[in-house]
Amino acid sequence: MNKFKFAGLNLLRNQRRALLSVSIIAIAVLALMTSGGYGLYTYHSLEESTSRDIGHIMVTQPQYFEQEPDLPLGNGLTQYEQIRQLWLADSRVKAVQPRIELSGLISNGENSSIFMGLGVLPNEFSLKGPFLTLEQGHSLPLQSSPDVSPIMLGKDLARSLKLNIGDLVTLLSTTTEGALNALDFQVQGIYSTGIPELDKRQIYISLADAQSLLVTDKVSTLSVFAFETESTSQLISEFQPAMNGLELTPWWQRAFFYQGVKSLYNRIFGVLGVVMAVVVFVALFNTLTMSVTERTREIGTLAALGASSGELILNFILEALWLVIVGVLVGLALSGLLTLGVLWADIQMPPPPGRNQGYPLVIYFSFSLAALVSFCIAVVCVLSSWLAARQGVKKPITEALIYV
Amino acid sequence: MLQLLQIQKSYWQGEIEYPALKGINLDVNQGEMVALCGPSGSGKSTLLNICGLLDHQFEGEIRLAGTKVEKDPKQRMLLRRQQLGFVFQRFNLIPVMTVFENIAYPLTLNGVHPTQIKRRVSELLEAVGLAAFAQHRPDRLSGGQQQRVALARALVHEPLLVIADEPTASLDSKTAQQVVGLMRTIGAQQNTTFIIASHDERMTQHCDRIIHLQDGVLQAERDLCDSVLGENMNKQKVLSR
Ligand SMILES: Nc1ncnc2c1ncn2[C@@H]1O[C@H](COP(=O)(O)OP(=O)(O)OP(=O)(O)O)[C@@H](O)[C@H]1O
Ligand SMILES: [Mg+2]
Repeated sequence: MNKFKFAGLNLLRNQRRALLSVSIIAIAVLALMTSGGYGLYTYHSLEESTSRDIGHIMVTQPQYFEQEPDLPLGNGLTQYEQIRQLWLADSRVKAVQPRIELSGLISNGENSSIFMGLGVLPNEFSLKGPFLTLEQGHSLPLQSSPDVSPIMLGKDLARSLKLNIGDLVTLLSTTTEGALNALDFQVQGIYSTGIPELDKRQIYISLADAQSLLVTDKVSTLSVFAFETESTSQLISEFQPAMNGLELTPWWQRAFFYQGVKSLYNRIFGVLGVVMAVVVFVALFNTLTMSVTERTREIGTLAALGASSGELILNFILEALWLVIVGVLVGLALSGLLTLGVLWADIQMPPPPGRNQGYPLVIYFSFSLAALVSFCIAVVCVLSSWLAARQGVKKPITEALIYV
Repeated sequence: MLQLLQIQKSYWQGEIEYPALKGINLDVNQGEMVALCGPSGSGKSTLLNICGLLDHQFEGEIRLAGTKVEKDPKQRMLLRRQQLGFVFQRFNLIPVMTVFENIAYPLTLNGVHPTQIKRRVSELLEAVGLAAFAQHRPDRLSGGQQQRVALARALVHEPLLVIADEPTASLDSKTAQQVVGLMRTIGAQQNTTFIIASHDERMTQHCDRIIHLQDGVLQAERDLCDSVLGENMNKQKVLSR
């Protein structure tokens, strides 16, 4: 008789018990797939938001992130346009955005406040997609008129200075030479980043205006945007030699929130995985031990007829495999349905700590996660069935034969 | 064919030793059907377990077809698989297997080719009169039918020796007679040796030789009817029935 069929028939002898084991495996798979799928979605969105924010690769002077220069742009990039063209020549690179980071005072004529500013190319907003929510007005115009310099303000900064669209403000900053310089701007847009700390201080101005404010032709960094996030490492290793000692930093080294969340989630999923593995192990061990005990006399009979203990154990392992196959399939089907259900239901999650915007709940269905979960559950089940069967097979045949 | 030399076996309960077999010497010839009689607790099952190579915790020596049986479990397993057959009091058929599959099991273990298995099993199904039940599950059969299946399973691979512990104890008179008759006929065809523990007259009267066990010791051997007829005479008598 086919061994797999034999195992299946033996399982069907106690259908309620088999159903229970299948349910436990299915629930474990569902739990792992759901939490893992949520984690993958979170990683992916954080990955996206980070790389959207700073690009996939940042080109800077060495030590740019470690040392604060005495004067603005003290460690900025000089011939950045050359470097930029070098990158843009590669078909995997979508854009290379120069940026200036600056700070100083912003004044409406009566009150002033500290600002943290970013000077960017105006195409930054169309390039990066929805990384901030425009509450009023427009983002920086692609073609700025020579007479007014446009500015975008975080909404809390706009509120504290009582600024509206069209109002004039003055930015005051230290130039690269150490002198003071001021420039007038007209409020073009008011936005929210979702992070209150940023909304209180952040402004966007055009790169050209930032350069005139600081009286320089340098930029702070170049952000390289690749078409595919996955090509980041490859690009870095290929371009490093041509960079004349400049530093290339992949996005994940600057993604502190991403890394924090990832290591926390990984730990949570690790614990969850272990707990699920233990639950499945214990449940299956218990079930199979019952089956083994009930079938002691049959095991003794087969052994008397000359079956090896390996063959007898194999029968129980195959039973466990049956349970795994059915349980995993059911669990995967359920998690697939849950993924669709969550999409359809359009559930909003509350804002994460430090943010004031919620986000839609999405659970990814990942095939590699499914493969990993199935494999691990299968290993756990085979192990527990092997242990359970070994106990039964170790019994002397003479005792097994008279077992009632 | 089977030789037992000074077989001793004790069960231990804590520190206390209970001797079950106290130096058994026995010589069973090829094709002989031996009945092992004795009161309950005299050690019949214990002795059969040793003869059937199911138990290796004993003192003394067993020779099967002239060769000493070693204690190595792998070797005993292979010997059981190839040379031995078993009939149990409670049939011990595998419930999830059909009658056919139950009978085929020893052949499967021995790696016999499926077409040959089919031929051989059909032959035996025919011989035990259960050809119509080949695809049935054992629990659909009566006790007598089940024991016939068990007998077919014990004989299917043409073993040298069949061990049967109380094979008729769970059967009524008529079916017991049937089973015994089949044992005799198929056994004679294949020249199988039987050792049968039984205190069932219906069984023992068909045997070539009856040996009596009492408190773990073999009593003087007796023939069928307490007379002095020789073994061969008995055999002929039975066969001519
Ligand atoms: N597993 C065991 N542990 C301890 N003592 C045992 C065990 N099996 C048998 N005995 C003892 O060994 C002796 C022989 O038992 P055995 O089962 O061989 O007798 P038997 O002749 O087959 O009896 P019955 O006719 O009732 O089947 C008995 O005294 C019994 O109590
Ligand atoms: Mg007994």
